Amino acid sequence: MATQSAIRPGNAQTKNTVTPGWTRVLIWLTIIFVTFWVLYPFAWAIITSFKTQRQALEPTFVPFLQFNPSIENWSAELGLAGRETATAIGNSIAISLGATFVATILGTSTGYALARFRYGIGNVNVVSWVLSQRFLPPVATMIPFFLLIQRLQGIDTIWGMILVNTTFVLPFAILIMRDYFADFPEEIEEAALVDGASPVQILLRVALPLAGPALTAAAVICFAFAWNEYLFASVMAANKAKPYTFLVASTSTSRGVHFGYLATRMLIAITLPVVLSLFVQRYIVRGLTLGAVKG
Amino acid sequence: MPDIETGKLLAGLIPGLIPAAVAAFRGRYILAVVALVVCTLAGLAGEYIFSIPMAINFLVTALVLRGRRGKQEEVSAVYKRSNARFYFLLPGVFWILTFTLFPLIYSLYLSFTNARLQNITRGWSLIGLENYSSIGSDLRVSETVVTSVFLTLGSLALTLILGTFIAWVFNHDIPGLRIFRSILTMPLFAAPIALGFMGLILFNENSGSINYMIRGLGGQGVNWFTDPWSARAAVLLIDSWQWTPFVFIIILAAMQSIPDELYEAARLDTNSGWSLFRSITFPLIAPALGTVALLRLVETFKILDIPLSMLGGGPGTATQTYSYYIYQTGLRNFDMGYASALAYILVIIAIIITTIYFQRMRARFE
Repeated sequence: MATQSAIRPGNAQTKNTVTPGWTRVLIWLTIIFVTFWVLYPFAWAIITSFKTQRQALEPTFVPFLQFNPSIENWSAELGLAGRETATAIGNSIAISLGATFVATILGTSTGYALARFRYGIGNVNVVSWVLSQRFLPPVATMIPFFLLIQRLQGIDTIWGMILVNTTFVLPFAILIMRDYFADFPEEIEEAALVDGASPVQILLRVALPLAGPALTAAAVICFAFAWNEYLFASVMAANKAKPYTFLVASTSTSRGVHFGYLATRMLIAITLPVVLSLFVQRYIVRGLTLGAVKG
Repeated sequence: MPDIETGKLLAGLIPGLIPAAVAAFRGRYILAVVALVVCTLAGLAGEYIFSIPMAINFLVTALVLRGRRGKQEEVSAVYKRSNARFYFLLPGVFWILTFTLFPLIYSLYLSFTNARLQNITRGWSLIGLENYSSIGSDLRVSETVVTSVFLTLGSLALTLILGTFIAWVFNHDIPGLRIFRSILTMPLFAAPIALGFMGLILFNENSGSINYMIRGLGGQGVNWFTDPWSARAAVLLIDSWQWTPFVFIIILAAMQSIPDELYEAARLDTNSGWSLFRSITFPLIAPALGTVALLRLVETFKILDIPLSMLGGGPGTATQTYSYYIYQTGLRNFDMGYASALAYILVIIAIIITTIYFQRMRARFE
């Protein structure tokens, strides 16, 4: 595990000598273009966020030369007038952290179970059931969820949203942890067994302390998906427990379409998950494919 | 503290007794007690309609945990004797069961009723297959299906081709590959709802930079937001922009796992990049491509956030997807019975794709 990095260094010599010069130029041009293509929308959003409402109606690119940048959008969103923003970000963090917390605990236990033990029903069937949760269209389960949470008086509460989000991110946690424990050498656990440790002790004292990176990856992916969730929030948390994604979505209606302001909010909404994802690059492939592809 | 009514109490207790009995019979006494308590609470909260699906959950859970003396391949004797393995599995499995099986059963039931906002207080009644039969004559359905299919197939084609191409480019020993790879995966973690707004800013007909560039290159600005097919294309482009990196990282991983010896051997015969790709790279990444295609198929069929925030389903209803229509019918107009019937068709499609997927994946998860 530890030695197997996500990106294998490859065989530098053979590839370098065979690739002719002009191909390398083309390759680098493509790489620069692709990088530009990925970053361009972010860049355009950042530029737009420093424009006033009038300036945002002009397709200008270069600040200072073409337009006079203004921080009015950012100060409106994060300054004194931004109480609604602060509440929504607080809600988003509470919901995402809560869902991440529950999902990683359940995911560790279930993932360990699926990697270590054999069950009569067949482990692969349990895994299928877990995965099928991700495959189910959320709109199909939304109405029952809504009615269930309504009966439990959990509409517009943080815990109601935690419950919903936990359900959606749990498969990630289970499968990332299952993958990790499946690769964990059983010999180490056997040594602990000889010393008379119980299965729970082995999980907590032997397997888990070494699971830091996998656990972080599971937590970050769960956090990001819970943070990005919008549909259920739009139905079940429109008021007190409103997360930031929902606030972003209501921007255009509450202030007319103000592009600069919209860009500001959009950037705030995407920053945290995107930045967090940079720390778990090694696990992105297996995490996002729910363990289907080892990367 | 709400009044506890005998009827509701019984509505919870009676279905709860069945899984409790099964669990107790199998020697899982904790599960039996939990089943009884939860089913009773479910009954108190919503009578049979909550307690019965919940009881089914517990029944399935109790049956999943069968095989006390099932196949024993655990690492050691302690594991064999230990009951712990069931309690490791139980919380997660139960959570998933409760929140997938219950909604599925409940929405199946709803799809046979005339549940909607107007009669939510009077209670609703079963109307048989009426909801399903009216789907056929619903013009909105065919319209939204066209949009969904266009977006799904378009996004599949675009992301797979571009993603594979970019992966191929990056598979040449690139210095600083990690940095580029990190940059390229950034869109994956951005909230789709926010990306819809990004589309709004980028594709805006007057001030958007896409039209600005098109005009700069001598073309005419495209009416992204007023022409139906251009609007669909704009949604497609944003979705593809977000998900091409997904294909890219998976295919790159697949390409990097191809041993260099294979290429070295092949270079004795040919030096053409294209024939190397066709005869070595492609066959070896084909399984990964299939997996990605299936995953993307399921995901794009659910697409809803981007058209919702970008254009509100407009112009007119041009960018309303099938999922969007379900969402609007069920949770904006509160015609829940009909929406459930619409959703169930989607569920069946999802089940078919999931089944195909697991046929491929069985060995991986055993």
